[in-house]
Amino acid sequence: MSELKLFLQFEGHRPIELIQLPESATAGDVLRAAAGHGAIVEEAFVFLVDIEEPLGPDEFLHARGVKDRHRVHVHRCRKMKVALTFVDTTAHHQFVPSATVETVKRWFVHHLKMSSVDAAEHVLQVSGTTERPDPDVQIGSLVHGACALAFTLVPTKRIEG
Amino acid sequence: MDAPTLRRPDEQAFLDEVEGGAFQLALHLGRWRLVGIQWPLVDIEVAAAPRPGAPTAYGFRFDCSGYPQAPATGRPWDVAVAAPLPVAKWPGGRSRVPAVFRPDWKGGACLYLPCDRESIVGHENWRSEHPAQIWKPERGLQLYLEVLHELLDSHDYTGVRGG
Repeated sequence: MSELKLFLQFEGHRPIELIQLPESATAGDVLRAAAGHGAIVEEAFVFLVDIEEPLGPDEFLHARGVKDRHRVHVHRCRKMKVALTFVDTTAHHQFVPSATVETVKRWFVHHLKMSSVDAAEHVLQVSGTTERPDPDVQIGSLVHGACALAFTLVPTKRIEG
Repeated sequence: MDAPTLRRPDEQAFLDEVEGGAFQLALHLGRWRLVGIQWPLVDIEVAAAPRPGAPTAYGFRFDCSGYPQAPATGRPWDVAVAAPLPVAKWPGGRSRVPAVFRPDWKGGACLYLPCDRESIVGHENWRSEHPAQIWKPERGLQLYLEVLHELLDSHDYTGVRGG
């Protein structure tokens, strides 16, 4: 039987884990694998990237089109309330925990009607910190025990001095 | 039976990171490609946005001695001939890219970045001005590569410097 290698992130866990499951695995197998890496899996959901509907606990991964090297995300929140600020504008939107930072940024710059040139020169920073998560990071990994998150869109500065 | 390969701790730490999910995901997404390792030297190609007459990726050689506690230092590298990349073939740009790819800085032997071991020396101001680009052992070379990929995928990047 062939196996799937999947990229896993989960609630409050920034590293991306590589897990190996049989091709016949279910969402429950993903939860067990996540628990092995320290995730809290009671009442948690399994998400695919940017897809709103989580997998049912007994649902087969292949039934949802999951293939080798796909990404999965485990989180107790169905949705994340995200506040996004740019200068004096703040917008609110809900995303699934498996949404990437890139997806959130894309929504916000579209909301701001920012040109693609300007957008490429800005990044999302977790509000109140200096942390600028990579575009591939799933937002659910940035928080633990909360279903809300705030970002500020900041310009990428030229290195000088 | 062959004796187990004895590796330096810094080399083993790097190999562990390469096997980790974050590095493997970036490989899968085509962000960069590991070309070779002659420890402590590591050659990696980083993908670049398409520009007329420019390559789809640039090679870099990193010296990863003391990894991951000590930051790496990197320079543009021609992986085909195993030599420093001629300045005329370096990436060019409008503002942020040429600020990093500076042939006048230490003879072109390292990149002008806060995460670079050689360049951070004497630039304590960068710790407050560019905290997101300061080397962190838990991020390792991944951070350096993300910074390079962001630059080479930006609108600031215009193609080959001498193109």
